[in-house]
Amino acid sequence: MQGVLQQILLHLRLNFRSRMAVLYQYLFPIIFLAAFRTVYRQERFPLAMHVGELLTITILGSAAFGLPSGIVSDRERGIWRRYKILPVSSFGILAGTLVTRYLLLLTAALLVLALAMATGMPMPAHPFAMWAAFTISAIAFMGVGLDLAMLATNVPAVQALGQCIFLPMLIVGGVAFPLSSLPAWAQHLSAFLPGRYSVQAIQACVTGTPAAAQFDVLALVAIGVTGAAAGLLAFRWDNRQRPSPWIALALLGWLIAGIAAESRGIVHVSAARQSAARGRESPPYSSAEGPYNAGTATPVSRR
Amino acid sequence: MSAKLNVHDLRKRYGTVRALDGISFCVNGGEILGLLGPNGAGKTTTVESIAGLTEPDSGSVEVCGIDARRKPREAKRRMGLALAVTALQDKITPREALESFGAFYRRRAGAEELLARFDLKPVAGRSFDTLSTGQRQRLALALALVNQPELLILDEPSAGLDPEARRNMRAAILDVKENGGAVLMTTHDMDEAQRLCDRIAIINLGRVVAEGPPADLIARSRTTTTISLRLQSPIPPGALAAIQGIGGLECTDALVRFVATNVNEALAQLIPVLDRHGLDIAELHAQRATLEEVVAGFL
Repeated sequence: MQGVLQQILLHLRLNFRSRMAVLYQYLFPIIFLAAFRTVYRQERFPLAMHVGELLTITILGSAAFGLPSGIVSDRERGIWRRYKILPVSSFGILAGTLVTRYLLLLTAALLVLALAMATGMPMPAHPFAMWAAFTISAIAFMGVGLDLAMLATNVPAVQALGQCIFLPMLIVGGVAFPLSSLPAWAQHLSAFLPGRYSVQAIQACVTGTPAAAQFDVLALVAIGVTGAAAGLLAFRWDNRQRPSPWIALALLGWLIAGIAAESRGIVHVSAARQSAARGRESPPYSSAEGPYNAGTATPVSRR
Repeated sequence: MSAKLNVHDLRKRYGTVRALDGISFCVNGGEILGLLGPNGAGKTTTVESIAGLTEPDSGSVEVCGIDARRKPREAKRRMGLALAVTALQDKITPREALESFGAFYRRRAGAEELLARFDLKPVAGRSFDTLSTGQRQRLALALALVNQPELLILDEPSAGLDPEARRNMRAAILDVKENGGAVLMTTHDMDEAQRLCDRIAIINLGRVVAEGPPADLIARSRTTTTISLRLQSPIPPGALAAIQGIGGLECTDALVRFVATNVNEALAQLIPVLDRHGLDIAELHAQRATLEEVVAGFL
């Protein structure tokens, strides 16, 4: 345990010594924040309705590129082999890496929130629930990142695989564009991707009620558990080991979430339903007492 | 003396290649065993199988009485390993590496003590990517000793080290031995092997082909001794043609050089011939086969 704690502290220190890592970790979410702020500048509470997207993009970027690139680069250079000599399991080593990544993600998320609030966004309605939703989303996506790292043999392969996850999730997964604006087929597809659940779970805690995100949280847990299990079972200490078929287990969580959403009939999202889920017309913010009361959005908002 | 390492019938195949073909040996406490052999003989695969870096197909590895294949973590607590090439994060410093790696062990040496011992104090706060090859190798050795191991395994430990660092490395190895620990090392440096190792195992094609103390191996080998003579006056051509059991005869004026498997027998025949021709010996040198030649002879 002491060794794993030392690893976490060491990885945090090493991360801040790498200018590129720091730049990527914090600059990337800030660019998206600026983009969202520009697109949704006419909304009464700028960015408030888009915290779910912003934080999900932050997590997704780290999971699809930052985490697997680091793991694969270290593995390519033989650093993991040196760790294998230590009396610690792959779980212990990975736990250190993942906790470090989570802490870095958390600081990036706090920076995004601080900047958003500095530019006029009110305090999220349920900050602790939002932190919990963010954490569950981070775990789910880090499981995905771990799987990418076990699948990719080199860093360029991580970039290619990462794009395969990142772009579809942004465009048709309900992360960068609202679900209600997507065609029916894309809405069905998004039910099998973790992005939409992350956006909905986080956003419900910012402007709605956390209870509304129950299904989203369960979907993220299923995706996270299967992804992490697949990553651990397929863990490769060095590149001489081939990718394991256990990686396929990760897809099970995505399938479970998608099938469950389909069977419950909650896949199709209309603009009204999305607004309701986001809290504009939901208590306790349906009246003037809350900051996100109904009818505050402008015409350029998510329609 | 109890065996700190017991390797029995270790086998490993990579496709059609038998990297290990039933390797067996042991290393006792207070002993240094050198694994010698050509590239591709199976030395590194043996070391990696013992350390748990490679999963052998069959065979057993016992470290301090612990089945290393069934209880790898317990075995790893007792051993220290320095690979031929050690990779660490670019921005990690030697001090951080020793402290963070040491934190995984209950029994450990102090980072400052190891930094001083391997002359790493001046670079203790520098990042790994700025260290020279020798400094990296010294750090690898320090890391191998961070848990005060009972079994120290070194894969090509002196590669890239300057003479001073080699002396420190040898002192560290002897220190482990004097404290009752066992050392297993692979090397291509025959001088180092002859100086340090109590026993040597020669490996070829994944098998141990010879094993024993260096002096015994040299004595057992069928390699020859080179004899060089400087005479007081030139020797007539063909004068030594009748001597049996010698080879590579070269006569140039007063210089004679040949090789013999049995030196006594060759000299017993040579002296009467020289007497008959009235030739006196000014210098006589007999050079026994080196360990390198002995190893080559077993392959």
